[in-house]
Formats: sequence, C-alpha cells, structure tokens
Amino acid sequence: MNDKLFLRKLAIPIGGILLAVFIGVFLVFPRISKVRSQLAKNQKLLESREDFLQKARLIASLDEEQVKQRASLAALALPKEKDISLILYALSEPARSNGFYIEQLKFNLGEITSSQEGSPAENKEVKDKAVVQKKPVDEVPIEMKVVGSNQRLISFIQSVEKVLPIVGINSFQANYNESGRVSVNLNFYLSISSHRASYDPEKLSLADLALSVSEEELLAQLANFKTTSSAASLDLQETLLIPVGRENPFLLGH
Amino acid sequence: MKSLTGINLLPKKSRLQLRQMRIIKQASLAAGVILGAAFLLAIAVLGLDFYSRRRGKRNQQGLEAAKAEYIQFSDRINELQELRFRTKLVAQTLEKRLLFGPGLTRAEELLEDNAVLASLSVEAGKFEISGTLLGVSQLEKLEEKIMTTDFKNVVLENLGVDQDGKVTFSLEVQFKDL
Repeated sequence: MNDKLFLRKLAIPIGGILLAVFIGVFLVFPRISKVRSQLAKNQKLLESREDFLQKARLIASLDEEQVKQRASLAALALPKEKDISLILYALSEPARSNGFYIEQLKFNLGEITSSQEGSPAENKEVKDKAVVQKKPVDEVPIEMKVVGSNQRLISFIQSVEKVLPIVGINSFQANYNESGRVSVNLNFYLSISSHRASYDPEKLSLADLALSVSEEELLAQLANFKTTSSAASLDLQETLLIPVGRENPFLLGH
Repeated sequence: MKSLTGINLLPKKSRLQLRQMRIIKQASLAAGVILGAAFLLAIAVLGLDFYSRRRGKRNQQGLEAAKAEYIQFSDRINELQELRFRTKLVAQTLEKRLLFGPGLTRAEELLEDNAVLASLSVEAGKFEISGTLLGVSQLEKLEEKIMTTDFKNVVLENLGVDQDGKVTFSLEVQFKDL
C-alpha cells in the first residue's frame, strides 16, 4: 500500500467522524435546546390549564345569589349615578325616623350637557378635560336644614351616618330653642362613583376571585346600614320630586 | 544462542503496510462508533422533539378548553370584580369620612341634664358649644368634667353670670381621639 492509497483509505473514517461532528453541531445540539424550551413550555401550558380549571371550579362554587346581593349592596353604598331618589332617601329617611322634618334641602348635581350640543372639537376638549379631572369617587355637596326634638339630635346624626348611600358630614350647626326644639343646618356630601373595574379576566389569580377578610368584614358592616327598598324609593319619587325649570332642575328649596 | 523473540522477520515495507492497515481499521471502527452514536443521538433528539411538539399541541388544546370553561363564567367574574372594586372604593370613602355621632355624644355628656343648650356646631373636628347653666355649682361640675375628659384643646370663649345666678357660656373643644 503506497502512501496515496493509505491516505485515501484513511479519508473515509475521517469523513465519517467529520459527519458525526457535523450532525452533533448543526443538528443535535440546537435541537436539544429547542426540545428543552418546548418541554418547559409544555409544563407551563399544563400549569396554566390547571390554573384555569381551578379558577373555573372556584367561580362555579360561588354562591351566585350572595354575590348578586353583595354587589347590589356595594352599588347602593356608592351609587354609580347621581340618582335623585337615592339622595332624597338617604336624607329623608333618618329625618323621618327621628321625627325631624326637612325645612330646606339644596343640592346640585352639576352641569348637564347634551352629547349633541357643541362642535366635535369642543366636545373633544370637554371630554379630555373630564378624563383629566375624573376622580374615582365624586362628592355631591348637599345643604339641609332640619327641625326636630333636641332629644333626638344625636340619634338623627347617627342615623345619617348609618344610611346607604354613604353620606359624610362636613359640618353642622344646631340651634336650640326653649320649647325643646332644635334647628340643624347640615352641610354634607353624598359619594358617587361611575368608575368600573378594569381587569383582564385571564390574568386574574385565584386570590382575585375571592373576597378578602377585610372586604368580607366591610360588607358585613354595610349590611347593618339602613338601606332603601324599591317601594320606599318609589314612594319618595311620588311624594318628594318637585317639577322645576330646565335651567337648574336639581336645586330644590331656597 | 541469541533469542529471536521480538525480531520481526518481515521486510520493512510489509511492516509499514501492516501498520497502515491497522490504523485504517481502528480509524474505521472509531468513525463507525462515533457516527453511529451521532445518528442514534440525532434520532433520539428528533424523536423527543416530535413527541414534545405533539404533547405541546395537546396541552395547548387542553389549555384552550380550560380557558373556555373558565370564560363561560365571565358574567360571574365580572360581577365579582365589580363587587371587589366597589368595595375598595366604599372602604376608601368610609375611611375618609369623619363620624360626628361619637363626638356629639361625648360633647353632650359634658353638660348636666338641666343645662340649656343654645347652640352646638361642629366643623373640622372642633365642637363649639354655647348655652346656659342654672348655677355656679353646675359650672364647677362642667369644669371638673373638662379637666377629666381627654381633650386636645379647650377654649372658653365666653362666660357670664346674670343677676339670677344663671351662667351663660360658650366654649370650643377638640377631642383627642376624634
């Protein structure tokens, strides 16, 4: 065997080894990292699937009726809209139950604008301004003058603080007279919020789908507040709403 | 006699050829083993890749099904999230709200039953009380109560005694814990 023949014969195993190296470098190793990431992805998919199933099971196990009741209680505590009947109820119910009568009631629900009024540019400006100024909770300021027995003043104030929708007192002035009557000027506010929850249902965790202990406690506390019934609300609408002019329809009493 | 062990009697050229043949044989064997291993590894990896992809597809389908099962409760989820959001706002509103009831009860406790209140006003945590006491002894009792009650600030704005001994007063108080 001469050297040329030897080298030619040796080229075959060397070529084989090179082919093996080629297979390893360009096929096996890149594929190993791909397989590893695919396996990790599979594991993640399995975990996500299990997570969704657990969430579905949790939601299915919730008492729908109780959630609805609580949602309506929370919505009543902090109304979404400036509802006159609710405002009137929140104020008149404590007065009525403590033998007080309302001598004067003044509240302003704010500017009323029609979506058809104004140019598109003006509307956009108003809209932008509203977005900048919008707070999660708005307050409707209310002034009220009530008259009743001085013995029931504290009970009246406590009732105001225990009624839904939530009413906050800023200040009050009580003037007593010799006949045992007291005339009270109250300056307070009713909280409202038109904001809605913004969330991505898929990103909610299991903990997000259950009420926390503090939320449960708060809802139990709200359940002890005095609430309106639809009948009472209707009754108020029939007896207390006074027709007024378009220029300021929410200003009652002077 | 000299031993012949270890002495290759073949001609030098033949010995070289034998070594070359042995090298080729060993190299071929090594190449075969390496190439075989590489092929086996490649087949295993490709197989695992194929399996994991199929498994991935199945898991993806399972996830979609689980998601659909979860999303079918979207009304309840929405209701619950609205409830939680509103509860949070209610908590903020209640936390911010000043309660006047407890302060009023304590302000009223300062006065004896037969004291006559003229006015009572509350603003920014300050209680302004004015009225009439039937005698100086009641004023002493009022003073005693003021001394023993936990006040942050007490300002006697006005005090007067008329000919009948009736005491008119006006004071401003602030409770420490309200």
